[in-house]
Amino acid sequence: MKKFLIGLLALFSYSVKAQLLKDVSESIHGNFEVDAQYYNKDTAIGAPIVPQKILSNGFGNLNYIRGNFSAGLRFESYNPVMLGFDPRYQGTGIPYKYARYKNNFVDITAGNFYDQFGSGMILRIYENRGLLYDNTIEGFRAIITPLKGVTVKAMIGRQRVFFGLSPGIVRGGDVEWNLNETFDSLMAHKKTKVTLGGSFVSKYQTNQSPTLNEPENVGCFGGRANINHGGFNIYGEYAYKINDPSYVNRYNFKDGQGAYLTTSYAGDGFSIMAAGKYVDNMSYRSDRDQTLNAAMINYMPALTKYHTYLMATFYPYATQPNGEMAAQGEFQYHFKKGSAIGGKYGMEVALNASVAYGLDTVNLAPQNDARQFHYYVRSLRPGEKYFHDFNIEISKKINKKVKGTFLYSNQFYNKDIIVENSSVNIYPNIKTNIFVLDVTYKYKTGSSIRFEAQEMYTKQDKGSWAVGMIEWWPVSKFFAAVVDQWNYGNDDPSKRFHYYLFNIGFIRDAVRVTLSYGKQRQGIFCVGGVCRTVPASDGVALTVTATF
Amino acid sequence: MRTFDMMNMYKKISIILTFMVALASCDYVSAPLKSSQPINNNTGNSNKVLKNVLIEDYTGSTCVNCPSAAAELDSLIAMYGSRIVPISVNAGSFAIPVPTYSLNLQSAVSDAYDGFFNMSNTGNPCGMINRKGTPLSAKYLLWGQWGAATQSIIQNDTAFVQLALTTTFDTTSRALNVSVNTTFLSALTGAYNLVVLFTQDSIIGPQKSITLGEIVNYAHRFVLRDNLSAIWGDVLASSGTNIGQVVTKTYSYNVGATYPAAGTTTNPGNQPAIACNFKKCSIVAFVYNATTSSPSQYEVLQSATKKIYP
Amino acid sequence: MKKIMASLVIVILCCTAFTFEGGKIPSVTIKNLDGSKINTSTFSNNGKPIIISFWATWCKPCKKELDNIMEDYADWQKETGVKVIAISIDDARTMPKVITDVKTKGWTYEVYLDDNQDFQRAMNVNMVPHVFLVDGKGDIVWSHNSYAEGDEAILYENVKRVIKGEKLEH
Repeated sequence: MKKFLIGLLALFSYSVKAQLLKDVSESIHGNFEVDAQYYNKDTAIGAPIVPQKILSNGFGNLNYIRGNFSAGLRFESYNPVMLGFDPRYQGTGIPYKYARYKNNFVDITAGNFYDQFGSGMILRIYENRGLLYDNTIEGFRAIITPLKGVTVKAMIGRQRVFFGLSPGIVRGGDVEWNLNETFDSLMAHKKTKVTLGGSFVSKYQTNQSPTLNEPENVGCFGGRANINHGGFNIYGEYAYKINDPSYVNRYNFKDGQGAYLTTSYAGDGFSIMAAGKYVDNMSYRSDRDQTLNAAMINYMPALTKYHTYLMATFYPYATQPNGEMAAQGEFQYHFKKGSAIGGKYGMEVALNASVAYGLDTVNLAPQNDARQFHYYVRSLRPGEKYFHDFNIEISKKINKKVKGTFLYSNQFYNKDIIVENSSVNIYPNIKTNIFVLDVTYKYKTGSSIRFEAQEMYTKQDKGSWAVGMIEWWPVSKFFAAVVDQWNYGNDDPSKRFHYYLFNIGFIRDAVRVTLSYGKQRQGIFCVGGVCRTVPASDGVALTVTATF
Repeated sequence: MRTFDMMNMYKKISIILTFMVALASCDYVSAPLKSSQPINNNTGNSNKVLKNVLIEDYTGSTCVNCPSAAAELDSLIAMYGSRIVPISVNAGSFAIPVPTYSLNLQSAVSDAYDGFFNMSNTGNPCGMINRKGTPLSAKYLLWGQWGAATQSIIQNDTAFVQLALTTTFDTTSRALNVSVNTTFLSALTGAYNLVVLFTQDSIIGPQKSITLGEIVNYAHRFVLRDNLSAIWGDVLASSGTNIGQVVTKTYSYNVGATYPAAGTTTNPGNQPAIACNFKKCSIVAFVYNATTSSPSQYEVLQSATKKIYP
Repeated sequence: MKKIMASLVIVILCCTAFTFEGGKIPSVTIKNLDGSKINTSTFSNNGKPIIISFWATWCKPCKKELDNIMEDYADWQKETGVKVIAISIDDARTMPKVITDVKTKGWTYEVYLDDNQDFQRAMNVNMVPHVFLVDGKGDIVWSHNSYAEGDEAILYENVKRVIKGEKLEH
């Protein structure tokens, strides 16, 4: 606790200094967030005893800019890390620091950086502070624009793993070429815009295994293209990876590949989008022996609707990097104001469907597998079903004061695969029907009340759930909310718990303080061959975030 | 059209460069398996004391990936023989007995190690090799990392401590007497503790598996059942050692007819106790660095195991 | 509990001392919806104020805010000449939805993609929605995190005061 207060004071004094520097066209900006929770003992819902009583996560960013030059750092502190996060985040440190020079021709970074090639299927170095995901590279990066429309990137370094560095070195290069910008005279005013790209990434890690001849240099390369014509857009990307035995793929020496295609057309008031993806053995990490969130080089997002309502995200899907094919389609229509269906204020309808299947693979018997491939892909037909989500969302403004959203979603969730990465049938597949009604009532300028009613019907797993929520904004600087999640359909009547949460928040410009009290339900999540229980909890939590 | 020509040239150069980099930094492997391993179990000098490797496998009956870790432990034992001192620690949420997977393999000492080293909290399966690694979180190793860590100790580390175990066991009264002789082979600074544990091998029962579903007759190996010494050990030296210093510790223990022993489990359910076949039981002893705030605090210097009934 | 309360008090004291204090828009390369690149330091509006709004397709309050501004946007432009720039922080998972959402909703803002979150980091945005107000000289004069119904009225008040040359208090 003491340490983070000292950290806060340090940041505070920097901000004072920043005001003094203002007159010489320099600036110092930053942000910070502190989360702390006090844990109560609650054996009924399975909350463990926390010996420290209070756990906290916190960070502060500081950026200094002077003309083309910038430098910055991030201080992080886990004293100790809160329940639900990887406990290897322990203690205090400055895992992110950089100096950067950027003009129209060159952009050079020494220190830590984030970057992405194409959609990220080969390389995506990013952070998500809410999930404590941070795979920043510490090293050097240069971005050069040798010709108008051409961007060349080169980088080398090692990835952050908690407060240390991954044992593997990442080297990467990428070329992106926007044809329209290069051929100014020919294409600048053409409506068709074309961007091409190609990238190559290689990682180096010594082979220390007593049993396997693990490759020390593992390369991955790919190409991509984006074509845009008015409201029409198409993007395609392909990536190939050479043999890369790792903990996640159970040390198989098979090559890997991934393909992604998405296309959309958006007209005036309507749009249609379709996307498809194929992934085979594409887990790519700078430390082959790591799993969970550590040392990931690439990123393969799930091709499913990004829901935000509690019940619609109860059984979330994640891309299975060892093998998956998936598709998604979406149609949106905006009924105009004054039309028969749109009424006085208009109405929006979105239809969305997504499916994910496994690959059609055949396992190789060890005696026939001298090259340690473990399996081969027999055909391009879909294999076992992993997930589906068919949903419709309707938003309508009824009058000047009342607005509402209705969501219906039908989901299929293969728990064996998604939770335990197991092709053996242990659990029944979970089939859910989810209904959400979200109504906002604005009773005067700056004051509103929002209600949410959610219901998830299912016969499997923990049974049906219901959620009620009221959020009240008496003024725009303050809110109070109550949420109750009720597991009324649990087969075991003694486990039909209410998980209630009270929340108050205060916002002043770019500062936000929220205080909550209540219970969180238990969850299990498994990624890449490791399973972890996110324990239930009961307590008081405080979050402060500020940007300055 | 001059830009166009330049563009072509630029493209060609970048393609050639890309291929050069690609060729230089890809290792295609056609023979993935290494040929059989030379093991320097004894490098000619039969008097040389060798350092054994304590491998702790943190596991549970409902942990679907754990059989892979157990298989890796078995293959390391096959490779390095008596240099490996194995323990499986059943603790955390995947070790709690549930219907079907009702074996209770937990113990108070397992819970203490699991909690302190944050093993199941970080994710099962996992383990520690000689409890090596700084900071504390770096001790956590996935089974894919065990081989390299073990080999590195066997090839590079020097033994500073010698352990000799002698046991007597009365099969009727089930009384076990253990005497542990610790010899310090060098003058060390800091504090050193001795831990003596009781393990039971090959308990047959169900185990959940990612590839096979429920394995009905799975052999749960080297299960940590109880502690003879204090959980965090008994003091051998509190401020440094002399060359040749010998410390002898003796323990009297009554081998239970069943485990978990009463009062040693944190399991809330009333799962049936498991009969203890003394022919499958062993003593594991290890000496670790107990120097507060030393970077190698908790690291194991030497370990040994011995069956209680040969 | 005592510790929490103590830290709460200290934190609030610190926060009230923090004020957003200007500076120019940092120079970061982001993308147009058609895939071409643009440098954020070139954002300009002929001496009129600019509103920069960070949003994402999955962020309900962000879209509510931009929808509500859209209803009055024509009047705002007529009265003050203010321009709204919407920066999407969607990553590869939801990026294809940015263009479809914008067109379906009929937003006429300038919309850019910050899929690598470079601009978000440079502007120190913790979470969306987050709006910045830039005055006619290109100085960032105000910022606000989160959205409550009616916040757009406060934002517009601030736009008008910036045009009059008043200093915004925090």
